Amino acid sequence: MDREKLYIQMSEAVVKFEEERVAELAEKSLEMGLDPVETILHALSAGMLIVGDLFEKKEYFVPEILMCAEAMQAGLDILQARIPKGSTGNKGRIVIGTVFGDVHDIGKNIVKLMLEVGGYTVYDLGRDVPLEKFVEEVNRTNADIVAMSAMLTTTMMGMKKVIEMIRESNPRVRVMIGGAPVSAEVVKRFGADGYAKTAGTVLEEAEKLFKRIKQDA
Amino acid sequence: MNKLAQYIKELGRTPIIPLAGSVGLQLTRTSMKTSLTDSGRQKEALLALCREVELDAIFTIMDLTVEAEYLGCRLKFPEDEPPAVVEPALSDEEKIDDLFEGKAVGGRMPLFAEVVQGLKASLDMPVCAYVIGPFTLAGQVMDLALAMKATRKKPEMLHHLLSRCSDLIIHYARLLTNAGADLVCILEPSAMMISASKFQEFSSHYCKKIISNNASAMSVLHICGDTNHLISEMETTGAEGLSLDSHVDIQAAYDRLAGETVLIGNVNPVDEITFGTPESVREKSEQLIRAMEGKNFILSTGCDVPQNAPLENIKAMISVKRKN
Repeated sequence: MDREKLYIQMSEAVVKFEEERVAELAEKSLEMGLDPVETILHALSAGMLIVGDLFEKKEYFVPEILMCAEAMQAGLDILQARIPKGSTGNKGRIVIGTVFGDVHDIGKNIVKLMLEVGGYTVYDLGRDVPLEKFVEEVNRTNADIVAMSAMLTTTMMGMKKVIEMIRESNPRVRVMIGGAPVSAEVVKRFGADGYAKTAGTVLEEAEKLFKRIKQDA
Repeated sequence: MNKLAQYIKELGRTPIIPLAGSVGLQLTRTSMKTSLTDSGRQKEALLALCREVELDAIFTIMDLTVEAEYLGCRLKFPEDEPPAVVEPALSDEEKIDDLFEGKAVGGRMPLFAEVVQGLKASLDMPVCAYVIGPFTLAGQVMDLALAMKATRKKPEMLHHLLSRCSDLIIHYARLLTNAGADLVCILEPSAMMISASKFQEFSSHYCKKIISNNASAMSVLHICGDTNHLISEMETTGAEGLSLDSHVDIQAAYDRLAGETVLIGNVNPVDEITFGTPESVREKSEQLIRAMEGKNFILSTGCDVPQNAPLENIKAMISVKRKN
């Protein structure tokens, strides 16, 4: 099997959530001497992009995304074991979490995964994160982007406070927000920089923000 | 016969019933937690809201954790925000039956029945109460991500859990109905995240059972968010009304209905009710009423209104009543 064919088969196996098949092909890629970083990008990440697209088209829903993520993780575990630390996640650093009061983290976890396989280093603060913790983590990690989500109309208000704190302390950092109650109107009112309507558009949105960061620099 | 459609017909105009119980807490300076743990205080806040705003019917304060808490899920229960499940009750899928052993009515269920009873005694309008939806409850009991994956990996186990959840919800729905609730609304937010075919298999089938087992009350099914893909399946539950969020074009949804099902919605509770002005809320409300004129429609909010939303905006929504 040639390299291109393996990439295609592996990304298809991710899309069809064939966990064992993904693992098998990951092993095979190593046997073939392929660079695991390249395999993650061209097979796993490519597969998750298709998944994101199917989600956008409403052919896939959350159960299917979670199954794909699980299949992808099986491949990722095998490939990452062969990668020296620091040679992935070079596209940028992103701090992520659900805001204080909000324990709904399914969406956040999917977004995190999309970003990780998309080549970003993600610092996950988890769920129900105290607002000042976002700023502390940005300072600790020197991150470029803060990504927050909220599922409730009440907890959503916390994102506005974080954005204000970030503007004050780290004006070069960009903020993207998401979650069920978030709309373009909310983004405007809160003064966020970006908005991923669903996990399917998050990579696109992150690319846009990084482009802006580079232009600003 | 659709009792909810009948109610609209008898009223002779579009009823206006926002899901805004918690806004009443501003009037009595009651905390969210107090209102959800003290029936007298919740009743007092809702009665204050009814004195302030001319609602056509009153909903109790929305609480998505009553059934889950009773089953042993650990809650986060902040003073000024709605509670949420933080830890599932079921750690071993083999022990579903143990979890439900001897469970019918308990926890804070009687508290909500008392609120209903109190409202019924003091008000001359339909009193509406909530129960959780079966799929949402299963997700709370076993962890939502696991329940999502179980729709594909362990459907039999999930059906077993859903069946037990539905029985519990039926007990609670009957308790509320016996206490005087004229309408019971099933809250099934987690269903928004699954496909129509999975919804049919893992939610609507069980909603139907809950509704048919509590047939003396009017029935509504509420699912938050973008439910465009679920409208037809939602109707097959037999719910007399479907409460739709602001992500749905309610006119287009109406055209897809097969029966005389009532649609309820869908002024945006955040963009309009919380951030909008009385003028913008009035405009949006009038627009909806005009678009749905002569149809089986109740003007409401797309979802629960945050407790800190300006009361003036609720009043603005109600004010369009006199004009039509």
